[in-house]
Amino acid sequence: MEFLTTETPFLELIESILYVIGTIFAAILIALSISAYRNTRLRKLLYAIVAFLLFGIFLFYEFLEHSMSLENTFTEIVIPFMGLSILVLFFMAIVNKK
Amino acid sequence: MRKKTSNANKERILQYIQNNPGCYLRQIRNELDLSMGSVQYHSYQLQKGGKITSMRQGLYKLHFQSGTFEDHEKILLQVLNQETPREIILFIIEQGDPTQTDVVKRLGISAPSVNWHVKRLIELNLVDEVREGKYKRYRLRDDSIDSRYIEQLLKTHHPNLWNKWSNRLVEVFLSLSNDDK
Repeated sequence: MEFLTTETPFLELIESILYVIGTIFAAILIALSISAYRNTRLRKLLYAIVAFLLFGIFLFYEFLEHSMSLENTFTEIVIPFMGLSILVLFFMAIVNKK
Repeated sequence: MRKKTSNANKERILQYIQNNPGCYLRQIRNELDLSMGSVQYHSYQLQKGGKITSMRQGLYKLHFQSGTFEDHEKILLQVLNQETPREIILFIIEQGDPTQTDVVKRLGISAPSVNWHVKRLIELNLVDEVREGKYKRYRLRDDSIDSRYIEQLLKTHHPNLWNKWSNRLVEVFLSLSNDDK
């Protein structure tokens, strides 16, 4: 079970691949929500666009942090803040009436 | 000889666009068995000469004969390109004057979502909402849409996957928010 507690090159590779796939999906969702907004002008989609954008940045930053070993106190605040912002934006998209 | 062939191709393209309003370049190329360069060149020339017009719809550029396709028809075609509004209109044509509940049951989406789409169709002057007691009934605006005309438009309608997905994203948000207004 040691491979679960210590980082192996294989696990690191899997982690990087997952970040890249996540970023690609975020990009697709951004494009999809922009297209949906252009078709319908539904304002709550604007929240979704920003949320997906933040999610894409979040994953990309995580990927950079992971591959370049960036670690500082700024990161420790930014990452949870981005996570919270994404949830707040989705919440706004749901409760916003317009 | 070459010029004669070129003119014949131009005529064929014009005729195809007349018979298939809303067709796009790749479709013309495939149906008439011409090269893409030739189709692009002639459609540009026809547009420049004022014989055809075009409008962009997602990834496609749709072509129409000038004069025959007014703004209203273009709006209708845009609506028909979106899955849910298209299904609502087709259901209204099929049923005559269905209630909101009928539409919800048939399309399998939430009432707020149906309400939101119908509101847009009303704003576009395509559908009328009639209150009957506690029910809302929807009808096509007689003066604006002819069902046979819609059938003709649907023959040339080619929904793309991207439009379907973006439409579903809208459905997700409308269903989650449960917004009746």
